[in-house]
Amino acid sequence: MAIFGGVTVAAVVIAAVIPVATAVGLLAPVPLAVVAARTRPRALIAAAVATTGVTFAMAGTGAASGVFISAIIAGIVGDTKRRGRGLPTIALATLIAAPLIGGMSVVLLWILKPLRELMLTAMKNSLDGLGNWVGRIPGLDGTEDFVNGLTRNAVDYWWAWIWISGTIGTAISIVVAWWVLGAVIDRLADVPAEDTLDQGQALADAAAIAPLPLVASGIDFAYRDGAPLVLSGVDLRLYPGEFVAIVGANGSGKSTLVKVIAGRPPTRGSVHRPGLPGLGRRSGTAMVLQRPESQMLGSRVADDLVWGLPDDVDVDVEALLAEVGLAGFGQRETSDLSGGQQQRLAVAAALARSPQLLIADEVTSMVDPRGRDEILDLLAGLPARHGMTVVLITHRGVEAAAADRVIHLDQGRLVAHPPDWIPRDVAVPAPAFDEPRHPGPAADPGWTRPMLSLDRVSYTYLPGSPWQVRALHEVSLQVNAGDGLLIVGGNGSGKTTLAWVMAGLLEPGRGTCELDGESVDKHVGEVGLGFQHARLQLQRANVGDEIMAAGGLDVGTTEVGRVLDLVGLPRSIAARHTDSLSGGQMRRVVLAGLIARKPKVLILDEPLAGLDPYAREEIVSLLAHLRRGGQTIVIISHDYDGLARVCNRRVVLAEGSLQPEHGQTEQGRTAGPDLGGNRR
Amino acid sequence: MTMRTVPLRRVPGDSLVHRLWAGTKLIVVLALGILTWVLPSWPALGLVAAVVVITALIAGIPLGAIPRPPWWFWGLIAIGAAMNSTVAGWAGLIVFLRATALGLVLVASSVLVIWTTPMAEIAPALAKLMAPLRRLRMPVDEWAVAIALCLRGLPLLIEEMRILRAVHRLRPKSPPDADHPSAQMGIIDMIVSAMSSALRRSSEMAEAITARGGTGRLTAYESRPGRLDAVILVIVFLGCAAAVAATIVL
Repeated sequence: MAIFGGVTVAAVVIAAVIPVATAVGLLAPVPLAVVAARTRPRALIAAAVATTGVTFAMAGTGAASGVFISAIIAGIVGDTKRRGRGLPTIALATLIAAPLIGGMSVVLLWILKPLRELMLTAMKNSLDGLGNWVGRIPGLDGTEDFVNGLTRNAVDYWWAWIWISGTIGTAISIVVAWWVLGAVIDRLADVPAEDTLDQGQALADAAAIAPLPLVASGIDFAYRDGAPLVLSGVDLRLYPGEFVAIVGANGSGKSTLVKVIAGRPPTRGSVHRPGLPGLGRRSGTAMVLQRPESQMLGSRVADDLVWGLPDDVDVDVEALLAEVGLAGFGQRETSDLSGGQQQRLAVAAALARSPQLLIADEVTSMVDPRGRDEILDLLAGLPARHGMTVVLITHRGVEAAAADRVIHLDQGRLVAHPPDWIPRDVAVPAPAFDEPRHPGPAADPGWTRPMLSLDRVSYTYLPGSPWQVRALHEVSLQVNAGDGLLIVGGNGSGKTTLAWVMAGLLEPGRGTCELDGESVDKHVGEVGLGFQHARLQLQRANVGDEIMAAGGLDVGTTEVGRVLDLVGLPRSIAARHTDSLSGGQMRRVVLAGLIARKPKVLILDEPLAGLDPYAREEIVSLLAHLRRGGQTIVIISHDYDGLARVCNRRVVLAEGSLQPEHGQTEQGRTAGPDLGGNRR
Repeated sequence: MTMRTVPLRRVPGDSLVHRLWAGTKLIVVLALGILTWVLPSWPALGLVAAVVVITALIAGIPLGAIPRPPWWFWGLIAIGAAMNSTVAGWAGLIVFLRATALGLVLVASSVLVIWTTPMAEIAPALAKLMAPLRRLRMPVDEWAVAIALCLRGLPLLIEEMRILRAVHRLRPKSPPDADHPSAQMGIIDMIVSAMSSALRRSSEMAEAITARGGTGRLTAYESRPGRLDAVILVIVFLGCAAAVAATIVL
């Protein structure tokens, strides 16, 4: 099983080659070198074959041969690094490999005589022409003869020229790849690359699979020897045909408990099943995971449904799609589906294996409210329709309501009663910072000054081509200084495009987007934008540097400390490596960097996605606090629970157009003037 | 992004070309590529151009799909043409145009494959084309999975590159001599971010694969070469032979 993990590492990383390769040819070997340095040669070979194959299909023979040479260089550099060898080894390897790789093009051109003649003639003519032009410049008369001599030499001794330049070029790319890999690999050491579901179990024959009824008692679990216990003393029983919910906050150990149910052996304690769990096998255990887009393995919906099934198994694709409400979607691309649809497709892929036990691990956390309800309805109906047991992992108390039985988990232990935040909004622990009651910026006469105004903004991707997509249509909107604006929209409503336009990253196709009266795309950076994908936004090796880099020249260590306090992180985190942070911490560090920059407007794309109620409450309090301090905030989200404390206005975006503005969400608790009627 | 890129996605449609087996199209691209490498003559280039134009017409590729390269692209070609013709005159110009056309038509033929073929069919087709390697005990099935996942991951990664570039643009720019983290060069940082994100994504995908019990089928609908594919291949090979003959005769 582990080999496929390696292969996947390979496949996904190398896919990066293609956009990178066109931009910076010298960096092309780097992703493959990372693969070579982290996994076994077999994965590198698979990766090299896949990259070359994909490049061939995408860009033809020439590009494919270039990628092939990159793969060889990556192999040399990565393998040397993996074996822990140093500079002497790589120098020796360069001395041997560079002349050989340089020689390959000589041999190729030696065989392909007409191509060589064409190339050399074109080169000679170009150089002679250039020499002629330069020669006409007074004072450079001798140049033409010199260039002519040079080109004649190059044409006569083409093999030497090509061989030498090829050798030097290869040597340079090896050196660059070695240098970049050296700088990159240690920083990537913190990235977890473990397949936490991998049980190392042998392929079971079908007869031995029987995951239910399951009796687990006294389960302790630690990911490594000596690591803190994630679960301690958990007892659990699962019977056929039940709908069980496991509820707990982030870090309560619920995902780990799921892995034990799915077959990972616990550190201590016993798990009894009549047979093997049979993860992903027929009549075994099936899982649906948290992130919709990473679970889509097939390109088209129907392909994804059957992906990974044994060749001899036939499933009724249409019936399964109909069951999850995706009838007729078979030919659609999986990447075009909304998050909710992708999750339902993942459920269908699980059903294709007719499991006895279906585990849904936080499947709704990245999905908009409508998609969430659809998934929950689907899951709740499965025990009755198929007689299977469904285990739903969630941090939302409401979602557990439909379950036959609710198991509460808190810090790795079972608790009899729901923690007091369930259903929600009750007795939240005090935020890490104090919240002075400001008089509110409403007293400020400059309060209603418009900051960001959008006038009939339209944006279409690839206009005029067959792929054109209208993302925004005639959006007019005004954000005033001190506003808290919530833009609500489902998947595919154009809200992310709107955020990019407002930050000046996209120039509107029609209409204008102005910041303080000037076009915002001339002032990129003055409007801060927090993307949903936190890791890509963190670029420095450690947290302190990251916040300083994001904040700008005048941010020093004192300011770093201040913003860390503000986002509720300990100051000691400033020295931590970026990749050793948890997902929630990464998000706070991004926020800290954005605050340090003191943007005129702060736009946040889905700041609450995937957070449990505690973390949500903390982030909401932080944002409310910032806004009371006068920060203008725009939040883009499908999820508006609790955001009323941050936002005084709410607009709804659907299919690229703004819907009539909803009633004010201001609840009178926070400061902020009533600003209606911004629609023109 | 203001730059017009060539979307590597299928152009919607259903034509003779769309219905061809993906492997056939790849073989044609490979054959044309090898032909022009071995024999970069006008007849050979003419054949490739003819195949490209006829395929595009049959597939009903709209004019809007053709990428509009930036002005400097044409500018560079014009400068190159001028340079070549100053010394060598017409002959030089024609040689230069031949070399330029060589590159362009080959890329065009590849792009046409992507525009007329569902991504999902490329991996199984490549696997089938590589099948003879199985006799050499090469893990062809594993490679097919890798290719399929690579193609699947591509749109996600392009999106991540886009975000990475946006993040870079949003950052404050400081004078390079300032001794502050915001002044340091960011290329290594960007590579680390991209790699870290790709590694995280790949472990998530690896878990998704494990959750499905490992690898197996790649596509729901099997596509295999039919009679039409044989006909097309024969025509293309005859065309290649004709181009070779024409080059020798002329």
